[in-house]
Amino acid sequence: MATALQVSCLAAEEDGLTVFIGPSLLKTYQSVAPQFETLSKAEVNSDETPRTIKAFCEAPREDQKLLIISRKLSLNEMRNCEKEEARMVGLQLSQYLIAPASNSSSLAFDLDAKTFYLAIAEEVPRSAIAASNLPSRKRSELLNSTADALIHNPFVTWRDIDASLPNIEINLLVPDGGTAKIIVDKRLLEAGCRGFNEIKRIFVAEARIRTCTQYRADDHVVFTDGALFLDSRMDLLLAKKPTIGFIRYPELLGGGVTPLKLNGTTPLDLKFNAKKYPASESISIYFFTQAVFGKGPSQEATPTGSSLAELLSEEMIGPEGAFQKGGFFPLNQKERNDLRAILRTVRGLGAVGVN
Amino acid sequence: MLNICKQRQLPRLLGAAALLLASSTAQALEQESPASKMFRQTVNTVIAAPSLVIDKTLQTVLYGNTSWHREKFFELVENSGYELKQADTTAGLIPEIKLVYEQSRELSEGDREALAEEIAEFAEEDPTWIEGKLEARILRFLLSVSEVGDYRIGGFEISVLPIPGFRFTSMPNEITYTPDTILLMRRMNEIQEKMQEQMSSNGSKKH
Repeated sequence: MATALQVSCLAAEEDGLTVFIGPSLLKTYQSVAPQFETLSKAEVNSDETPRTIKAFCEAPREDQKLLIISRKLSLNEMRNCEKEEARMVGLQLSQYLIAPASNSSSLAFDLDAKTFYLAIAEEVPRSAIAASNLPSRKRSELLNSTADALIHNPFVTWRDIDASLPNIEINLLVPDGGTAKIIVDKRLLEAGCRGFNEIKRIFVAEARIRTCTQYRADDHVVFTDGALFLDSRMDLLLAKKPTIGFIRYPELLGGGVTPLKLNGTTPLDLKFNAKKYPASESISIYFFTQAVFGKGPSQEATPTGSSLAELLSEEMIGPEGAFQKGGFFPLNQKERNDLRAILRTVRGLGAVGVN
Repeated sequence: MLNICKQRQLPRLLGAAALLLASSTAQALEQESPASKMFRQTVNTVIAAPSLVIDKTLQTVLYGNTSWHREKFFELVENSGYELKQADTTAGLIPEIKLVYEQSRELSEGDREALAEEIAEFAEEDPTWIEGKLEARILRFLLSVSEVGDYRIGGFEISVLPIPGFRFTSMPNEITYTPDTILLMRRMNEIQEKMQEQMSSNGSKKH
């Protein structure tokens, strides 16, 4: 009797689903998972994204498990996770999108990654100072004072960087952690500094990233809670000086702030293309194909297969779905249809009736 | 390597390359990159410009038929973390042109993602883009290699003439020291220290 119970407990453990989820997605997931049959029974494992990924990869390969994070895994990371005789699939569910905005209508200009980098970096390249709008005497003093490729950031106003920008003091509100900070560092700072020859000469990638993402340590930069990043709009409105900050895209609709275009576009534009917008990260789901294959001759759907069907439903990723309500930018209809078509090719989902 | 050098096609190839470059020269951008300029000038000195009919297939084998295309290709190779070090040229009955690139920097994850997007945009904007085309293969290859952690491409050569091709050298990212290697290095260090001692003792004797 004890043996039979032990076997049935093991079977139940094997059939249970574990969802490994990044912290910025957890609240959205918890608010909607109870509405779905399989997801409501799933065990949830959430930690900082690198630890979440590690836990997912280290869990036994045979387990029913999913990974949902707000970034894409690199090819190397997927290979290390797959190991032998396992095939991992990654799909994009939605997009984590932030947009620049200001609390003053006088700060309504078209921002780009290079300008943002020059405004926020601790040190800037010599060539940037040579091309800047600083008074010529100050420019010469700075360039003659040192032979270093990078010089301590001298820009006080936006107009110091470029003559077309407003003559207003640089004040920036930036996230201090989470996916929002990764977007700011990778998609804006790294992108902004990439074009400078002084930066290109740094061979080691890690050293280049450190140089590009070193924020200035003066009063021009203030940090907001990036881990949750739930009310970034309110933080911006409470700033006393004309300030530019980053807010979640639905908060742009809340009013009171002036959206800035980033590389010529803003999420409020009619023909907005989220895939080409720089300040975004994909919300991705990863699973092993073996976990989706049906069991037995009847091809009964596995917990992984069932939960994937629930996650790809319109209730979850549609334009009125949970992810959108959680502040994430939904994929368009064609992209959502393509996702479901991919899954239909995997055995076991036909039984669930994914359409 | 893409082998298109059938004997009867060789004169057409030379003529096509010459006419290609003659027309490209007329359309050259004002702000041409040094790499693109070097390539154009090198080939112009080697090949005359006969007026032959261009075979469209051969035209797309090299860097496309517009200076924009060539400029963009060189820019993307540079964005892959490689810079042009030299161009080897041999003039003669069968001219040879080879461009030698060396790795100038590693790519970060952000660099790779940006490069993948740029390559995709390049493919969208160029109506002659074909995945099998040599420059398409080079770009995709450089991107994929940058993602593999164990090995890196220290440098590569692009052969333009007589046969378009691509040759590269891969090397491990981490050197594995065998016991013999460690023993040899220790012995070399000992010899070097003894030599230094001897030199300094010779120097003090003189004084």
